[in-house]
Amino acid sequence: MNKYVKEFCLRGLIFGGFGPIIVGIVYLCISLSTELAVSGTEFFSAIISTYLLAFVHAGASIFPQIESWSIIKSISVHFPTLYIAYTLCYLINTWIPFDWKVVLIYTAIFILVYLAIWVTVFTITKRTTKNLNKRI
Amino acid sequence: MEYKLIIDKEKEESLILTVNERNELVEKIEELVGMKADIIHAYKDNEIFRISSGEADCFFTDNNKIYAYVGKDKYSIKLRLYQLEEILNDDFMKINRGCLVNVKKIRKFEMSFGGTISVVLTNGFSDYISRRELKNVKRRMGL
Repeated sequence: MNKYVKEFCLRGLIFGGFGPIIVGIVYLCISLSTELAVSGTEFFSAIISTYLLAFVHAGASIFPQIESWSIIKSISVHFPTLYIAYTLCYLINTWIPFDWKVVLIYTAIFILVYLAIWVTVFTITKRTTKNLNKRI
Repeated sequence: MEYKLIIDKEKEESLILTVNERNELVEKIEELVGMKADIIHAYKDNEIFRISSGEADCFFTDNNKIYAYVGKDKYSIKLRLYQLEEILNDDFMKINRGCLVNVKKIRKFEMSFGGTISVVLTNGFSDYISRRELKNVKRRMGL
């Protein structure tokens, strides 16, 4: 098995469990503040889909580390992978409705958040790399 | 096989083996003796080389096997990575769960868009620093 596929699966298996934990905490918080009525089927669907989402999210972190891939290629695989995984998860759990206007707004927010995260990570990493290079 | 252990504080320590042919036991004993003397047995093209640990650029795992780079030459190593960690001197640092690099052979640190930093060695070899090891790497580099 390709070492990157293996690493994708390994990271997915390690961190996949965090999805249902987070969704459980969110549901708990919502139920404490409002009257949330979640059926067994909905809760089961949320657990499975967030497990898969966390699996894909963690696994996708290997993309930037594939040495033979350029940054452009990494982003063009990493971004759609996360976008598809998140969008499917949100739609399946009806956290957003099947309405193109809503999906459009959701997509815009997703892109903004994605950019904000990477700009932050990029800035911190750049500073650390610069400091490490000064120490050689 | 006859086995004798002589404990004599007066004599210089030595280990002499008499065997009919090289076998796994001989190789293991050589590894152990080498570990004591900071010598690592490296294998390439059916030949065995004795390298001192300081010569190596890095040790890394690939498909569950351990390899070392000495310059551009790649050697197979029969020790496990955790055994190497125990015997290698402070020049080596772990950058991820499958790679030890010689600090003196680092050419530069390089960033990737994903927030990871890679170590590039003078021989061109590069590998990423895992998030778990980044703290140790920063400490080792004096940050």
